[in-house]
Amino acid sequence: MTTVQTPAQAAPPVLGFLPDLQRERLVALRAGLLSEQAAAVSPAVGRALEMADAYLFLALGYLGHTDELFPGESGPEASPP
Amino acid sequence: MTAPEKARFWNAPTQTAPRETLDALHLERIRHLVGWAYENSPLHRRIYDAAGVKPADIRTWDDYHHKLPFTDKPHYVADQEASADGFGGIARGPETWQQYFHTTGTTGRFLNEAFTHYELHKAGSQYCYGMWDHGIRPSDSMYFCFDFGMWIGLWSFYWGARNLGLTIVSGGGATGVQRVRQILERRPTVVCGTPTYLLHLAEVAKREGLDVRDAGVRMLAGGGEAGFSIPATRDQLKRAWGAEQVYDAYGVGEALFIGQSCNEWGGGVHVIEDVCHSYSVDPASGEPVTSSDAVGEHVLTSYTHFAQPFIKYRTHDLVRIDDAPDHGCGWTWKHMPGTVLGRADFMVTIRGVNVYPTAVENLVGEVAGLSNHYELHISRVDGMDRMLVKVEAATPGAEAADLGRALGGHLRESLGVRLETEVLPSGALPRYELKTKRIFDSRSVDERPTVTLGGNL
Repeated sequence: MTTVQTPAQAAPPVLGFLPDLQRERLVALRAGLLSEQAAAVSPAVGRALEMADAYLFLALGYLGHTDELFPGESGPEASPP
Repeated sequence: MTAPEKARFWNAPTQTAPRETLDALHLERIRHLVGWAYENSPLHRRIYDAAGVKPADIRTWDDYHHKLPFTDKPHYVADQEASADGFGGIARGPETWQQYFHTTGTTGRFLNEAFTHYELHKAGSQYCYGMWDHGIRPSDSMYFCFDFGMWIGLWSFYWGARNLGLTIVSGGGATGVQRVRQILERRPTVVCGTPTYLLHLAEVAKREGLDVRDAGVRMLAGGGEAGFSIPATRDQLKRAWGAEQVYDAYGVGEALFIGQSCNEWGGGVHVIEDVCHSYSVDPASGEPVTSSDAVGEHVLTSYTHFAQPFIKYRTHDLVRIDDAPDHGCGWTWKHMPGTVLGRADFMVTIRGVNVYPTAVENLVGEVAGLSNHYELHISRVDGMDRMLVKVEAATPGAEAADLGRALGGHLRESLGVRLETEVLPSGALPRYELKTKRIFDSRSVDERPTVTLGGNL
């Protein structure tokens, strides 16, 4: 038997040097992706980048990203022109 | 095999993270999610306002456990039936939904569920951890023995297969014989279906003079029934198909298959902590269960549902949760030995009809003129189960006899059995500061339905 501990407050999560570093790189990559999505020259490009963002966000979730819950939470998703 | 394919874990950074790190991530996500739900879901705002709780009040685990109200399926069903679009607890509009489904309705009502594009894939990701641990890789393939309809269950397996990168073979629209022949021809690594159907297919093959063992299927997977968790059925499936592995997964209609088995322990599942927070409570008190030997009701918060959040959601499943599993698999995620051990609902058998309080609760709210304050009193008289449904009238001075007849008729039509009813004046039932007690079961332990707890206690 083990005793289930009621969780205690802890410092901000750190998954380790490499995961944290990759998370930071992916956050920066995502900023670029969203910028391109906003400037998409066609609905096709806009939608493709929107889908790319969903997959990128999956990777961020695997790496402990908690700033947003899902793509588009922070504001209206960019509409393709 | 490429370097990533040799990796031991699907996502080691979280899958093997210390408990303190995981709990810190959970609390951060839950706090964020509560704020999202409060701001965007009218249902959640009503529930939290009624409890006098604001998102800023949820700062600690103690706040989560003791201040934040539970949510339950009847909340969503009531909201669904009152809404113009037919969905309950919605936080994002239909313009963001990519697909919608409904649950199986085993508790009396279908619950409609909405998913955005991201949510489909996030929900699909939960399958990858266990499949990967069992050695399934993108070069493998999965055959689906079902028609893609409105039931969500096996659809989510499809999203999982896509996330993992498997080759997908659809058996939709085919007869049993056609499926057997396709499986023998395509030789998939994994065959996905319900346990009953997979046993049926093996029989179909025999009748045709074929043997599904010739297909070389390595793994059987799926859901919808308890069979994959039952040792005798698992053995039967392995023998019938000649399969090495029967994949055990635990699903909740509102959060999908959030429990997956590792390769070391097939008689239980790990909670996929990248997609949900999970803990158990004493069904009577609502207090967190603090021993891994104790059984409690499973309560979860989903990180795959944002268009329709499920936060501190009662599953009514009885589980044991070990938050420090040590059976050699290397995962640090919580483990549920025996998967689901029973239901927290108090089933009653009345004149041969199994009646679940959950179903009665769903129906009480449908009778005009009644309030949402009610009690269910279960007793055993002369060897027979009885259930008395006490409900308050919505307004003072209401005609109790008429309301009682309406309630009794509605219950009889919906459940197929007559229950005793009593309509009380408005305000007659007690109010509780914390968790409301609605079910009073006066049967002795021997008189109650036997909860076998899966024989795993």
